Amino acid sequence: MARVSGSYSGVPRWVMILAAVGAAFVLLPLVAMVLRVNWAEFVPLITSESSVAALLLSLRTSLAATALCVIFGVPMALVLARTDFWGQKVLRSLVLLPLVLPPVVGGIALLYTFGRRGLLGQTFEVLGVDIAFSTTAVVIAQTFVALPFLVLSLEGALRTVGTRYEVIGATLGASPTTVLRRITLPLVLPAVLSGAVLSFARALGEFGATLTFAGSLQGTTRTLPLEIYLQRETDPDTAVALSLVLVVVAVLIVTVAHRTGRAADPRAGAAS
Amino acid sequence: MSFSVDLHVIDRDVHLQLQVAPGETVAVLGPNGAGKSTLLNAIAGLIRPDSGRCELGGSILFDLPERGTATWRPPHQRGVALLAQEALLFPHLTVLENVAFGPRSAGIPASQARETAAGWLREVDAEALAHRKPAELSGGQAQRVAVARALAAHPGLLLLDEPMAALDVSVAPVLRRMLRRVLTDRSAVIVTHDVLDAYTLADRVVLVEGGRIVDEGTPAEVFDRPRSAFAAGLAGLNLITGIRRGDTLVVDEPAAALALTDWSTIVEGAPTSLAIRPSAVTVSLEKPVAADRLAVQAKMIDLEPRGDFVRVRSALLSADVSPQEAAHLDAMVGSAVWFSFDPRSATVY
Amino acid sequence: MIRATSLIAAAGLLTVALAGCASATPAASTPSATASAAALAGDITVFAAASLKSTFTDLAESFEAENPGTTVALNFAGSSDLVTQIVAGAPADVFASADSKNMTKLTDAALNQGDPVDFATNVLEIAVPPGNPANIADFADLAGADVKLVICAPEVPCGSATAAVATAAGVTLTPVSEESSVTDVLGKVTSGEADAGLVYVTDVTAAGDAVEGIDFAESGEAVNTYPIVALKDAASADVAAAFVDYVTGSAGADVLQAAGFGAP
Repeated sequence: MARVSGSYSGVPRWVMILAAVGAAFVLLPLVAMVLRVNWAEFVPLITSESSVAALLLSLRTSLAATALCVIFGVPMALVLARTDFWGQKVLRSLVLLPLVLPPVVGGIALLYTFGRRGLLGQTFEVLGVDIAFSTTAVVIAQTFVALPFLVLSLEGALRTVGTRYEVIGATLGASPTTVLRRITLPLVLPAVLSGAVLSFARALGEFGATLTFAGSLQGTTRTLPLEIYLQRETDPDTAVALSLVLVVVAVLIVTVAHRTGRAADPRAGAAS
Repeated sequence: MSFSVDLHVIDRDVHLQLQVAPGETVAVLGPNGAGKSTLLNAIAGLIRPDSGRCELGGSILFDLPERGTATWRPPHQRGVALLAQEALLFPHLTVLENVAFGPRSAGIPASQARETAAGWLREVDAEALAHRKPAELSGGQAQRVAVARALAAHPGLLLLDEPMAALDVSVAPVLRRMLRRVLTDRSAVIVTHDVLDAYTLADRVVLVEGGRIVDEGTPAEVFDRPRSAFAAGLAGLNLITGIRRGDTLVVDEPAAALALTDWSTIVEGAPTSLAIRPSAVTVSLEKPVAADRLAVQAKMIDLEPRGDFVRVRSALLSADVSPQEAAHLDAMVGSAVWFSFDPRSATVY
Repeated sequence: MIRATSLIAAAGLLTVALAGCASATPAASTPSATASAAALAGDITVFAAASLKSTFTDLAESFEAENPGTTVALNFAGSSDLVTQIVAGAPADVFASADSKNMTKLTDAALNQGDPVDFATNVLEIAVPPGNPANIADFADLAGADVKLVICAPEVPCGSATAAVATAAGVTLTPVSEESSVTDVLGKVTSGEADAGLVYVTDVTAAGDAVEGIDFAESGEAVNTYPIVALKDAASADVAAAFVDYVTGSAGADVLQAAGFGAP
């Protein structure tokens, strides 16, 4: 969208100042961290075996977790936005619980569910599936904390778009699945994408639940945040270097997805 | 396909029945809140009445008896297409894809559906717009595409909800002509406020007031001889109702007596209506002397400017006068003036 | 470079701040036995390794009881976290570390007042859930194929001890998880997720019925020595020194050994 320079924005000056302070609050720690990086040793530090293992594991698990968030989050958002049943408000609050729960508490809860002595633990053991200490556990922990982001983002968009187009589609003979596939989802695609990006970022940075539920073993469960946590005991330089890698990866993903989301906006007409 | 509906919605106090013969277009008119939208939404399957029954071409769209098992077909299985005031074209699809939506949802392969769509776009004179996006279209263009989209879905019944209401006055006639063409052999129900739509498009007119049907018939029947103040208003006619007493039409409210000569089939004591165009009524301060004019005195309520004429209103009659005359009359608002007209230009029934 | 300047500035600021809280004390900097003459008064903050939690809490209470007019505030965390904080200027008066390596970081930064004194030792012990579901009998059993073993990561003190013990025993361990703190290892055992874990003797004692402990011969190969030292720029230097003496003295020894620590 072309912005006409010099046009009136109407934002009070004191608001700009507060915004600047807020931005500085977020950016200065990043700057401080970047200044501490041992640039001479940077490349060897981040290409060490443990670092690479941690980064690849983080990317793999976060992508898997994001996929799960989309698979389960989209239906959840649809049900919350489009249907009306008794207890819906309560259900919505519960579904958003992982947002406020301390991740470690989330990890403990997952342990009580999927662990050996957990609610479903016996069932899994009978099936021969071992969840604790596995990469699966990492993905479960990440999905648990990241799911609300997608649901929240998408539910809002669904409510905004409204049901008018879906109703017309139905009268034209489209079954509910066809309406979902050809009308609803294309119209909320930007929200799905931005929700997925948020989920991915959250999954990438997940620490507390992973530590408590999945354990920490190089290549299997030691994601990048866990690796940083460990390295800071003995090698702060590595810890800082890896932290920078994490930040860069997150920024890249968010930027790329933001661009894709913009391009995918179905309501972009020739006029805008 | 033939169509019938009978529905009862309690909390909106709507109780309507309607039949549409194959190929017939029925216009439904009524004041706001009369129940017209309820009717269309129930037929389309978007709201569920408390009881009723609806059938289209032999298949039951819904059957909700007071007691017993209920049948309810979801909207996408009814073969009823709905056209609203806003075109509501899918913003993320091109015009062609929009029109092809119905056929594709029916399982027709994409390429064939697109051909059908192109055909319908030709039918509504919107061929050139095929590859544009809805955001690029004007209101009138969008509405035309919406018509093509509804028809391409091959509906058994077409429902139109005030399709011209959101369009510019200059654009509406084009759409009306197009609709007249495509509705020729199609079963359709059109809800409208515009009598011109009824005259142009409808084979039959149904008037709905307070959730009930108050009048039915051909446009000429309903509007040339209006049976209610609302109908008369729609038709732009004055309506005086009273009882025949001898050769006089006696009106109760407001009290008046009109001497008429041509009573045709109306018997003594029967309720009688007299309809006359406001443009055929003249206003004067003195009682007119011409013998062939019928004159009544009534208190002037107000003057309403209406473009190049002014409507003079009273409790009994309205007359259309020129602005100059209106200027003369302005000072006399509230006092009695004489409304006169030639009885031969009135319809008595 | 940046570190030293900010450190001094921070320490300076904090000292000034704390000076307001602390009451005036005699400028004596020689550690002397607490039992004698002038009543001690002042507040100190003790940074101690997490494994010292219950013992130091008891010691702090009894110290305060014996020396009314003093308060001992305690801060427990991983030794390396504590050192990092102290070096960055955190207001500590006494530091008790779980190993010599972290104490060395402190002395390298020249933040100690006097030399560190070893006051306890700790060795590893195998911890298993009650009932010993995997039937662990000795160290070699830990390397069993189906055993879910959890240990400390080599980067932390208990982890390096584990590595030393494993080498001495000639056993290659294949854990399912390498935790960053011994507390997490213990947690995995108490929750039943792990079949066995390598923790400190003191952890097993503290866990009570939640775990069963299995001693093993090779534990002597990796003895963790715990040093304690008072810090320079302590607000109440004599109280700090007194507390260090308390811990290294007989009162401290009794409490520590009751908890399972070895003599220094």
